[in-house]
Amino acid sequence: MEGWRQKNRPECLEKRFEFESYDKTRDFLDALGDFSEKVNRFPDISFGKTYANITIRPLEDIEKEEISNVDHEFATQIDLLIKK
Amino acid sequence: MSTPSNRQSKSSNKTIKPQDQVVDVTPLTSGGQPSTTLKIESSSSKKTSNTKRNSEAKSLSNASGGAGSGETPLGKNKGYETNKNGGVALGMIETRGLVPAIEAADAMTKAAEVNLIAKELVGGGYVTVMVRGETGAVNASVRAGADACERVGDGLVAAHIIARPDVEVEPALRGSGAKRRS
Repeated sequence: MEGWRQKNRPECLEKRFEFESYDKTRDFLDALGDFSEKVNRFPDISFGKTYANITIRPLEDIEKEEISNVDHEFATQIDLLIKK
Repeated sequence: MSTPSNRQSKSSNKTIKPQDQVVDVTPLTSGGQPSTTLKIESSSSKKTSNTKRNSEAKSLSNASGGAGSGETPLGKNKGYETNKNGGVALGMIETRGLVPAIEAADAMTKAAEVNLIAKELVGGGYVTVMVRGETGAVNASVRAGADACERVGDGLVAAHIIARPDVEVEPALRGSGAKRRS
């Protein structure tokens, strides 16, 4: 989970991914899209030509909306998408 | 605001059975047309049943071309409540110039089932287009839109997807009515 920053207001996990070209950014976004569909969880995504910012917010249906181990696991899985 | 010619009248046909009706959500267009309401068609007849589907459309006025810039708060727009399980995500693409913005809007609406809610002339040549829809669809459409406008000149400035925008944001999503200087 290297590079992820946890913020308290609002509760979220954030990471900025940098890429050499738009094609690589796009490949990452495609992989992230497929993964999000698979696990049915969608982070906020902000991207330009050579970067993508991912923001993971706590799940809505849990009693107390705060970052949990589930969110950290989700972040780890996103990191793995880069290495594939 | 006049009713578009292709919109069917509210004249009732009470002979249509509910099971014969097809309920579809009309996508919002950037042409300022009041297309934010439910469109109900009969499989056996072109006549429609008497519904409230035109009541919200009358309150929509749009000077900017963004269909989300009407008086009706977006949260009350039934057109966005197509899938409560999937939620209503927001996708935005900012471009440098109008041509890539239109290219992006075209690609977004073709790529997935999303509604184009606004086209905003930000100033300085920047243009933002916004879509709403189910989270997965918005995700796919913004990627497609970014791809499309990236190919057009130096178009893509930024793209953003908010999976669950807060209800307080919704008034800000209406177009401002900004126009190009002549």
